[in-house]
Amino acid sequence: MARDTGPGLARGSTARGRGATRSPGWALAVILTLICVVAGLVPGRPGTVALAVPFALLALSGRDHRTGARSGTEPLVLISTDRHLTRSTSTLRLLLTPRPKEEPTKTLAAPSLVAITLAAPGCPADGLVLQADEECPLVADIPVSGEIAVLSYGSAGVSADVVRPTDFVQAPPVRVSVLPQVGPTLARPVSRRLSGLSGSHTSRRPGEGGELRSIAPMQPGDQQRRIDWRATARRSTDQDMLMVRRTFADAEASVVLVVDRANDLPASTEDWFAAGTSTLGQGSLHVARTAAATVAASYLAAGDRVGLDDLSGTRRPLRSAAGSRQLEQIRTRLAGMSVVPRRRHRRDPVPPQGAVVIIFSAFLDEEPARLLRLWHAQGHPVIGVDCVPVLQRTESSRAQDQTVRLTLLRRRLLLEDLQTEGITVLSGSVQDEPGRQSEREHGAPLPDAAGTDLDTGLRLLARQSRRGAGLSAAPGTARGIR
Amino acid sequence: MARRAAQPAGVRAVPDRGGLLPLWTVRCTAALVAVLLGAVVWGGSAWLALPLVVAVVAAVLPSTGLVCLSLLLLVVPYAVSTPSGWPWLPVFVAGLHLLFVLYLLLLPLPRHGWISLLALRELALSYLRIQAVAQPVAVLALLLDDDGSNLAVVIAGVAAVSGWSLWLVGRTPR
Repeated sequence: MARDTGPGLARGSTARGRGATRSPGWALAVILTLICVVAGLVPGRPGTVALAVPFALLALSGRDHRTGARSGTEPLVLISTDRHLTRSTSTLRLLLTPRPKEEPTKTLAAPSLVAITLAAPGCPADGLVLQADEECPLVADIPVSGEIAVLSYGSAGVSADVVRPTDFVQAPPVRVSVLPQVGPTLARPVSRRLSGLSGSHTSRRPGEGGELRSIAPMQPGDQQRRIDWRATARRSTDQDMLMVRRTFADAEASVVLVVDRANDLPASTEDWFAAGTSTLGQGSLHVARTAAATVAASYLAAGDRVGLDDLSGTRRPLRSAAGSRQLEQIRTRLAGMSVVPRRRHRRDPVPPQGAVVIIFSAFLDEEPARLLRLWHAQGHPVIGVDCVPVLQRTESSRAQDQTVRLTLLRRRLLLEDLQTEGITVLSGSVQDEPGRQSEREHGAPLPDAAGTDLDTGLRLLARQSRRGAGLSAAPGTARGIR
Repeated sequence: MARRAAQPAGVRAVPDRGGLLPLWTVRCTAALVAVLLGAVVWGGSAWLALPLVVAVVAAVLPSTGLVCLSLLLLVVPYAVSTPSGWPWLPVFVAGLHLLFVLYLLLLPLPRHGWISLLALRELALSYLRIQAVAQPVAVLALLLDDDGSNLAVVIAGVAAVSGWSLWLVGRTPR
């Protein structure tokens, strides 16, 4: 028998759709109706039949509805940042609003309720049932720095009689990017091989600058404004020879910040072993971001050039430049740095000539140490910044305890080797004295400590470099180190 | 070695306004309704613990199977054991419907959460609309009770309901 393949059937097929099914609530209502009616009719008990009335009405209500038949690719609600509300340092206010209706559908009634599932990172999901046109502000925690999805969510519509649900549709998660904070200005050790013709540092080249190099008789080529009349009066009694002041040229320093983002070591050691650890806490990557932003701001404030690279090699390095815009670019790039496994480099990165190289790493493996040694051997002033945060020893088993101890021991040996080879490694984390105290009390010998903190270490290096150069530096400037 | 307690892995996103009830109140209400209805129809039996446990589990960890089992554990004993002309029939009809709505509301939701009072009001209005039809039928059924069984009525009724069900199931949705 030939079947009708006209428009009517085609419409029916489309409406059913692939995967379109009845809702479980509707099926349950039909089953209960049948059971009540049969169980009432057989012994002749109208009371039992009466139990079926609500279920029969619900089954009738949901007779035309199927889940999956509705083209529900758009979520019913949207969550956006609430710009009218102030944001504190650790929380973000969001606003959940119903999605504006594009065009009213005649055949399908809009659901009167919306069931929203909210999932913050590291937390079990929460449900929220609202009226379809109801708004709801939300408060979510944000990371201390970095870019993550702070809230994943999805929604499904529910009719008021609950037997006509729509499909659950997941929405794009709410992502935020928190720029790393810039700490107080740090001392700036620089290389002896400075470049450029302007800047706040004094190079060893003769040229235009503020640092006196010598006072000598005027030669052809000397500018008239260089004549030192007092020295001329003092030294040339016959007034037959003019004396000029010669200076060291001003120059700018170049710094390359290299961030190792191969791992993000949480402060709580138990989280080292957790698969779905929250990224909201202070991990080693946060310490690296904050320390790198502070170092960059310190150098850029003095007019130096700062570049940024990462050991994973997934993005092109940010070229060295000066200025406040460069600082914003560096902070933005740092905020976007998440954990990425290292790629195998065809060749090692090459820092600019005479640049100070600062590596921010947790020093869990040999690679950052190898690069420090390499660049040190090439004549670059190198500094390692240990970014492991102040650890909270929360291991829950003996195996975890031993793993943590072995990891920290390996790190310690690595850092000691670097120190022995004359490579300075500073601690990038804030030295939380109560935390350190508790670790000492609990018997942990602080094998993770890299030594001097960043501020003190850089100040010592800057002073050392001034002494090594044998030149006095103007306030706020530093002489080269090697 | 003494250890510090581990911090929770993350922090929930929470609604920042009034007019919301935690979902556990809905769960408790569902469990309470189920326990009360179960106590009525299973009263005096040692098997009372079974529907109570199923009801509580269905309220806390709802799944389609558990919800169906919990409702059947109320409907079937009612049909089997309650005497004819039981005066609490309208209350039982209302309770069973309420339990069904609450179970289905909880079915797709995570364990923790909130529900707005406006949404509850919407649910209540829909519930009352259906009860406006169901309650007169329940009262009518009370009046018609003790009528005795009639084979023709049973066959006609079962056939009618089966036909109706098949019509519902086979109907092309829009």
